[in-house]
Amino acid sequence: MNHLSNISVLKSVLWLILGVSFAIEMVLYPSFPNLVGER
Amino acid sequence: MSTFLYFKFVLHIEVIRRRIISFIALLYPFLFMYLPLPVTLLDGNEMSHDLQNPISTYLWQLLFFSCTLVAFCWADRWSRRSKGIYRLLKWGGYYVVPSNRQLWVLGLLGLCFKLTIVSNQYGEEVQSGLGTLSMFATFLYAPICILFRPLLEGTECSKKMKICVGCYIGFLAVFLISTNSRSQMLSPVIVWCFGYLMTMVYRRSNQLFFSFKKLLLGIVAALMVAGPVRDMGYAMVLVRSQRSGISFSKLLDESIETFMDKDLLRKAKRIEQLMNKMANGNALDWDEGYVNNLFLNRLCNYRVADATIYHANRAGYAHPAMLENFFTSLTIMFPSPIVKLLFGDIDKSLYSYSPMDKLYQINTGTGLGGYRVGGDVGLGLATFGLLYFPLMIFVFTIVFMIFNSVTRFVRQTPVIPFLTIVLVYFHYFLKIQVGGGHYCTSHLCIVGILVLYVLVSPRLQDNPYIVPWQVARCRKGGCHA
Repeated sequence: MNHLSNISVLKSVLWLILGVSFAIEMVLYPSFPNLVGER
Repeated sequence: MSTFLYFKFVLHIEVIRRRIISFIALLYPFLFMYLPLPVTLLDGNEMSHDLQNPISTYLWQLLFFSCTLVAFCWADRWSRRSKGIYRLLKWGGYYVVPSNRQLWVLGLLGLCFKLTIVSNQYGEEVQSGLGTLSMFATFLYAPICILFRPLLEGTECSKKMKICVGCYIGFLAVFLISTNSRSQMLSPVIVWCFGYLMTMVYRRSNQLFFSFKKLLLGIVAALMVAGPVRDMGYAMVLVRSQRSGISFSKLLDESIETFMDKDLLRKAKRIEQLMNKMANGNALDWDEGYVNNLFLNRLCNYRVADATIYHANRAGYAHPAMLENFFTSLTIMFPSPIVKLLFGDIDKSLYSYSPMDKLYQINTGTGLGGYRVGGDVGLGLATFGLLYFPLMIFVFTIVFMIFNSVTRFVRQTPVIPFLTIVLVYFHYFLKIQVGGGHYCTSHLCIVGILVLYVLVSPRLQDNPYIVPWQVARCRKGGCHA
């Protein structure tokens, strides 16, 4: 049971990190995903 | 998208327990897809920074990841039906549990082989047979498995033995600095980490994975990796540029000396940054830096994946020279005497370059011998064209089936052979995605090690004089000695 809850917690934390990162990326770099690259 | 697929098909405790090695193998492609977004942000960059074709890179990488997941699921299903590989390994004695003394002897033998390799690889002349020796050197990590005896056979080792193994791990970490490779330096600790991960996965206690003490240890380890270990890694990279032709003791001294000289490290980093800025003007220049942390750079490097796809697009898909290079690399991966016997007199030293070097050379006319790291997708497209994806599903399915067979369950209790724990880091973990060689050849290397071990393992049993075919006969009930 604890293993299951650990995996669920892990998934939630990973989703949270990804979601927050995506939001910050959209705010800081609105061109995301950059279609032409930086070069 | 890739996170969703991974969570849906892989990240379940039953799947992890059933297919622990395949799960670990798949962890690298997942981290490769997951980490770029948060880690580039921590560096203050956007995810697409310095990529030539960001959109096509993301899409190709997603297709590659999806194909890997398909192979994983198929292998999971077929491993339940077909037990051929498992029976073959069992017949060969792969699941035989060695005693602590035998593990120490194997470790010392591995240490001797490693010492031979380290003292020869930086010499002026290239010695033959080092590739085969490196297979034996894998046994170097065998004593670490004593700590995980419950996984091997179910009994715990004594506290005194645990201290001895702990000292051995410390000794290995210092000794392996002389190899001038970051992954080698950290390898004993990482082998331990994987053993610990497996212990955690199979433990059925009420304790949580991450207790407060473990969390604290994890933070200290992360700080070490971000600070001193990172600097040591950087010192190694600096010394690496001049390592050819000097003895390994001198190399070790120079690495430590460079590590101690913080001012030199700072200056070198500054010069590297300036060089990178200057290089950005030229699209053909090769740069493997994507994120600032050297270790995370290995785990998530879209820049290498993107550059490989860029060069594959330039050279054209299914390039004949790449295909020829692939078949040659398949030919020369065997030990020299076998190559000579089967394929005639081939001078291996003429092929001292990676597949990415070859692709780079096709486009630029130079660059053979740099051992550039290449992305699997770009190299696959340049070698096989779009046929690469069905081919990779086929190869990966077989590979995952092998991975699924290197662990077994006796009355629902997991039994992990020691060689499985030892091989996890170098041969199962960092293989899919970005690397210095063709994925196929590196996996045939695993098959080589398994065959080697199957030949050696019967000698690990109580009777030291028993020969392999007698072992097989004994198991069938024909031995009454």
